[in-house]
Amino acid sequence: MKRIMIGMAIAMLGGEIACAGALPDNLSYDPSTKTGTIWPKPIKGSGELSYKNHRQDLSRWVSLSYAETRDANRPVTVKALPKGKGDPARGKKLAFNKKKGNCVACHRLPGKTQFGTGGPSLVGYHKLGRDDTWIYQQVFDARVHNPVTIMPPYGTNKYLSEQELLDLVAYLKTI
Amino acid sequence: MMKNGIEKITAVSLAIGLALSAATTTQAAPYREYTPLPPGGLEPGVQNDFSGSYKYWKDGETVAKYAATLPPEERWKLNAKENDPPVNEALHGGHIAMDEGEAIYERLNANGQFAKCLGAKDNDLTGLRANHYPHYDAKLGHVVGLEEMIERCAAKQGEKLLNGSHNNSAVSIYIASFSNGMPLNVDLSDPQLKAAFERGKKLFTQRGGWTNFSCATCHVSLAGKKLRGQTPTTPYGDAAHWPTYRVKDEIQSLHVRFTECNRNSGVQPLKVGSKEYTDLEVFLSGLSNGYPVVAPSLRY
Repeated sequence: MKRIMIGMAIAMLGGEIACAGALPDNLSYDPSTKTGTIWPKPIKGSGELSYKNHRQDLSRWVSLSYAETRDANRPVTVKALPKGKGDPARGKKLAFNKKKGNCVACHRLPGKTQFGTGGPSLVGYHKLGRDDTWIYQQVFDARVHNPVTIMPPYGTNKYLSEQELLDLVAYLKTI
Repeated sequence: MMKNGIEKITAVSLAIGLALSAATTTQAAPYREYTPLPPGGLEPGVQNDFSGSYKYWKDGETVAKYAATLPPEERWKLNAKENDPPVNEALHGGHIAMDEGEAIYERLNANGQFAKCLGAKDNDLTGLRANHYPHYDAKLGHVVGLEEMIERCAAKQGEKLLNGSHNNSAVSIYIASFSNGMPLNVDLSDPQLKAAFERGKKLFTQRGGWTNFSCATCHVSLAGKKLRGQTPTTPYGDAAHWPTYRVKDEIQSLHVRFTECNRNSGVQPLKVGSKEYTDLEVFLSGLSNGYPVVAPSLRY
């Protein structure tokens, strides 16, 4: 009886993994490591490769694998602002942080000497007079405003939280 | 009333039928977004570069001329070719790796079988990199790059030279040096290579990751724009100098570079030697058709 129960548990577990969507087998990925996502680093004088963990698990989003069956996230229209109040100081930190908003990679922001030119300068952004909902939509999923935008959909892809997005909106209104 | 009832039944049975057929036939392709192609598309051959920079890097003499005159904000137009001879003749880690590669090659090829396995005739490596790779291997039944074949042929001689490893790339650089100055010549009249090129082109524009970026986001949409401290360049003319010596002190193969590109843009990397990366290799090699091989090369 006990053996049957264990067998059933394993079968159910197997089913659950399959339902959750097994990852393609050609990802550079090792689930037994800290973040799962690994990358190869050549070793001098060696025919072997060493692997390092990326700082986060990138398999949460679609890869370029031909075996990738998940849909990419479609554009999401924000119906209403989430509850809460944005903090411009926190928003500024998020905009400058390479591991968070990293807005300076593409946009010029006040107080930064090394910035990007891929997107428009945001110096004087408040003068555009955008309302909170419009700005929130832009950082949540800019594809709703421009279908071929290259700006990452921070909200739709759950890279930043609602509170973090509110903080960014508050910050953008101060610059 | 009656008519409505029949319509309802028809609609229900139609829905069941559709559901059944969806369950029994292959699933629809998953939802993907693609970066639009630049004007002129992404056709093979360096002369088809869309970025307007080709005239600055078309040959060594031109690179030397513009390297001395272009202002800082326009130096991306050199397409990083100022790091190669004749502008940069400095000794670097690529030269050392090339010597290491020669020693490994000589050891593996003691009986001539390694060169033969790689496709060289009479142990002659001349033009092998420029004219023979990547190619469709009928025995394996898929397209192979030089580094994949180095791994396979070394294994036949009992040595582990993993695709992407330092020693594999060192051998690749050594072999490429016999094609130095010879234009890359990927045969896209071969239907298998052409198919791989087209698959690679599609992948190049396919968006993924948390950023929803494609390769083309940076190398088409943002080519020449600043991303903080770096300026992405055109994908044209880029495949003829790999593997390369990176100044972070690493001998890096093209596929290992892809894993770096992927994670830098928030996309889950794939395995070195995967079909996807090989298709991208064929695509980028096609975009470099007509551009001379450089070995060893250096990149930042």
